[in-house]
Amino acid sequence: MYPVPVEVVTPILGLIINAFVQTFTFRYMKRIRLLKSVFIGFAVGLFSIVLMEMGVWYEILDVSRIDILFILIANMITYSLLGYCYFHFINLGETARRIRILRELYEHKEGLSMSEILERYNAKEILENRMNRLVNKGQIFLKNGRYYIGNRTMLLIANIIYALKRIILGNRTQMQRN
Amino acid sequence: MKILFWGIMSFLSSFMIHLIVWRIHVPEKQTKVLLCICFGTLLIILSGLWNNLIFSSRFGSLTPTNVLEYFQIFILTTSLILSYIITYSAIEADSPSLLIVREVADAGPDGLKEEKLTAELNNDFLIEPRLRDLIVDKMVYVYGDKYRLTSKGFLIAKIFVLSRKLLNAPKGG
Repeated sequence: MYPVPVEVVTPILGLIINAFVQTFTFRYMKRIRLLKSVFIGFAVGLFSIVLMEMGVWYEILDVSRIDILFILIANMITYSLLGYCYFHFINLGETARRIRILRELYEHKEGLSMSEILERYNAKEILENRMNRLVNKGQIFLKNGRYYIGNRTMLLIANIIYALKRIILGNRTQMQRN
Repeated sequence: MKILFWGIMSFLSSFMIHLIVWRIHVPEKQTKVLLCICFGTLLIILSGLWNNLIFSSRFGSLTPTNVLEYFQIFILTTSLILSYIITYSAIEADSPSLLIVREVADAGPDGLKEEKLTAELNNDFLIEPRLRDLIVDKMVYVYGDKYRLTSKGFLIAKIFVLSRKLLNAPKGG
């Protein structure tokens, strides 16, 4: 038995629902912060996928349960990956330096010189934003004028990224960093 | 099962090719080359399966049997590729937050003074390389002493301006 077309597009439908719910909750529910809205959107999208799959497979009786299970797993993996991409899209707008520079240039069609860019966006602002975020989320803490590691989640992510960097770039890692 | 199998196989094959290419020479336009490798591999695997030439006889029940299954493999692999490319951007350019956390961790029980971070993470380190990347990726060009957006840069900036407006969120960065 072949899967029906709606079965094929459930991850994409889930992503659309995810984006809609995330945008709605963040825009109109002031108490919900950005990261929380991303999680809510993702959960609602995932739940919608399960409901859609159940609806589709309820109608089709001659498909083995194991086939249904594998298709459900494949669709949930696909949806989770698309959700991960959506989260990063939101995150790019929130934190990416390249996007912020593009936005500054977008607002000044005649262009900006390096010093004009640095007046609007500079290392001081970047560092302040990130230190505030890290302290507010408990990743680092300040004591007697010095910073220490708090929650180790970000450190774990940093170590994974660094390990990947070593695997992919090999000895060029340090060179790139400089 | 076959959708998961071919989706993951296609991604792993392109990842291996990417690893080999990068170990020999890191391309200037990394994302573009990565996209070519990943979608090129996917295309070769799908057309090999479709033409019933290379794998079908060997993999029997793992061979996709209709267009919808090919489409599902395509969607799964594409989402794997996009997720990897997004993650790769953190490998390509050091994230300031991750650098700060590593610096603080490296300082150990003595802790890290903010002045040390300010001295290391300056404009030369945080802004200028990103501006150079935008020029290499043809999103920005230099006109006299000014930096201006190309049409590609304008389009990308517009997408983010609209998405932030939709979310009613500030500039970010």
